[in-house]
Amino acid sequence: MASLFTALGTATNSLDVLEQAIGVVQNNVTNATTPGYVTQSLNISSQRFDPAGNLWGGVTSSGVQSSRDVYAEQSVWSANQQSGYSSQLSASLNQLQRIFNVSGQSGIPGALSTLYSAFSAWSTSPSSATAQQSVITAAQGLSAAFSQTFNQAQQISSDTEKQLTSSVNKLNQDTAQIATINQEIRTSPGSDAGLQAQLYNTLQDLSGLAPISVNMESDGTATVLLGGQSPLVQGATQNPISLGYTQSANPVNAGASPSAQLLSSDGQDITSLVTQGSIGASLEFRNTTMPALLGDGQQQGSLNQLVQSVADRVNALLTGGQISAGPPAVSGVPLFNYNAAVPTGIAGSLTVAPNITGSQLAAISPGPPSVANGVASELASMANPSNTSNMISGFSYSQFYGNIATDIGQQASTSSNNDTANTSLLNQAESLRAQVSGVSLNEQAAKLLQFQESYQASAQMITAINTMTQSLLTVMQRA
Amino acid sequence: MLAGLDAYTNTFLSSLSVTEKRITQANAQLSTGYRVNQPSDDPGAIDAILEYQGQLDQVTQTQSNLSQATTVANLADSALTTASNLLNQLTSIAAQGSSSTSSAQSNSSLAQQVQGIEQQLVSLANTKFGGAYIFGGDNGSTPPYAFNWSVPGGVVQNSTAGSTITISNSDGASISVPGQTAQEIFGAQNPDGSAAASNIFQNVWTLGQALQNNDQAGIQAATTGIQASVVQLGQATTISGNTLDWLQNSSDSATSKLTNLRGQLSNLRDADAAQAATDLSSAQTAEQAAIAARGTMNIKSLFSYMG
Repeated sequence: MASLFTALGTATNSLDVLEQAIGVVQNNVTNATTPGYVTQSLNISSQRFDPAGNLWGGVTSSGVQSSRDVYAEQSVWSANQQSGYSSQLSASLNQLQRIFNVSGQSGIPGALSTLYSAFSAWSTSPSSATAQQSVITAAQGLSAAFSQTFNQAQQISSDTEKQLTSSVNKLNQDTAQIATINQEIRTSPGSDAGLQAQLYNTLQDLSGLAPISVNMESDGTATVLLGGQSPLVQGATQNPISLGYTQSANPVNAGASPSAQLLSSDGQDITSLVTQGSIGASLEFRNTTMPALLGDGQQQGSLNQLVQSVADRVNALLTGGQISAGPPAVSGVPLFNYNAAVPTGIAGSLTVAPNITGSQLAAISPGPPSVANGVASELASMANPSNTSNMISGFSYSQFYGNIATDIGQQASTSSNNDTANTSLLNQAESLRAQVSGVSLNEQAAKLLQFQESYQASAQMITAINTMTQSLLTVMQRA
Repeated sequence: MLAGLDAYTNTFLSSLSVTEKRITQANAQLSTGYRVNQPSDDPGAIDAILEYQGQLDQVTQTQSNLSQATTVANLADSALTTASNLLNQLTSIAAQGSSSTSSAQSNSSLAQQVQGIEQQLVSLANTKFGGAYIFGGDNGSTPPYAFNWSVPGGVVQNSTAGSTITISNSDGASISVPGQTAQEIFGAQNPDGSAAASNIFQNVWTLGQALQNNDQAGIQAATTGIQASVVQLGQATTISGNTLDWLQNSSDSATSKLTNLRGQLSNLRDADAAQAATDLSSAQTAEQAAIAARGTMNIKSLFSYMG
């Protein structure tokens, strides 16, 4: 009879184990689409069965096992870093390239052409008030085109700074959350699939922002390093980073915009560690791409260089010419003004000399010999220059602008292609991870059926044992 | 990448995004008519597009300049033709004045005609276009001569400005238009500033004086002067004709260049509308098919069949 009671206990115990197993299946199905969640399975093992040795077997559970594959997770993080970088860079460059007209009929190239045409018309009728006014109007149009492009570029740079601020805040939110999760992991007995899902989901989100490396400690917590060097999270301790702006050492250009800088919690410059992720892209765009165009402490920026060169050349020709041969000869006056004290702001400060009139434009080149439309003709020749004084580094002003647009276009095209490729790689990495550790509803349904059958069989066993026990008791009572 | 979506859905959305980019690009080409609407569309073509458009604008302006110069040159040529006719009248008047039937009274009347012709010649020398005196050289704001029969030569010279203003064509060559000043045509001078033998104003005035005085010897001498002036004017007319030819050739060259440039620019910049429409249709069809397929996907698992 003792064996009947033992068998009853064993069968009852198996119901408990099967209930746990079904509970794990239920949790898997419930969290099938939860970010960061991976399939859990109950570890079920057989107990020792040796009736002669009074060991009656049975089944026991020894905890829940996670199917998480750390290598698959790391592959996703790596792909996500690259995808985050290329996606952000592509978006930024796409925004920047739109401010450059490439039809040649408007914007800066259109305005340059209009100015050259005005010079040409003026050269045929230097005394014509209409032609003179057309020159001034065209100069105003060019000044406006330069200013508009400059202001749009500055706005994009400002937007990038806001994006950086937002991304850094998001990074700090993620690391704070990881620190909180680490604390909970330390205080929770055993492995908690829910906490692990939150942890890995946050780590994936973090990987899209910046390059991280993760060490899983023996206590189950995650140590997160930025660029493999600067600790962001250690146990329950978060080390937030901050965003600052600093001017280069010994700046050449006064008034230039400072560079964006990331600082660790102890004030170390960690900017160079962030070369991937969306923050890496924003830093690259803010500190390299935009200064090449708008300048910084060490460079003037190609846009400012173009504007200054055009303005200086036009002014040089006009002031070197004569309004009237006299006697006495009357020299010309400059057409353009800009703030030379801020070399990186020339494109935005360019204006036509206030109150200048057409009669103040100097068409005469004094020579000798004096040519009545010499200056006007030289100005018109800037459209197709053979004189190196009408060029920048061997390029005409239009070509120089074209080079700027081409460079940005190539960067935008390359980053767009990279974005497409990296998105595909990320999809592949996620797909592989899903295959390895994702929840398969079919698999869970099959397990449920299996556990359900086992549960029913164990329940039937209990019923049978109970009947047998009742029969034995009845026999004993009669005896 | 959207969180919470399975890998298959993310792949579907990524592919859809690529298709939508194709649609956006095709739409841009159709609406603008340009293949290259932003730098990344074809970075390698930007320099050439801007170069061709810049040349197109430059040659277009040159064509406009040539057109205006041609108007001036035609006006100058017409003035010279009229002047030539007037000199022919003078030749006839001089012949009448020196004939045996002439009298002091008839010659006085002829002198009045000569005076009138001088006045017309001054008016021709002061021909104006667009507010500028076309024979004024670099000083187009001052009439080169003023009629004054009471002074030697019958005119007062208001401006001695030379002509240094040139107009360029699309080949880089340049020319002065009309190429001759009023002084060079009508008031030729010796190096010492005195009237040259071919000075038209001087010769006409001299004829007028001789007729007024019924001076037969003077009339004969003036007749020789008029003949020299006719030659002078003939040379001026030849120069004018050459200027017109140069302008015409330059205009033809510019027109040819414009045609070539437009063709080159079109090949490089303009969209192939038919191809863009095909691309748009193809991409839209692919988009609709992908969305429809995704929408009708019957995603079932074993759970769907469990009682």
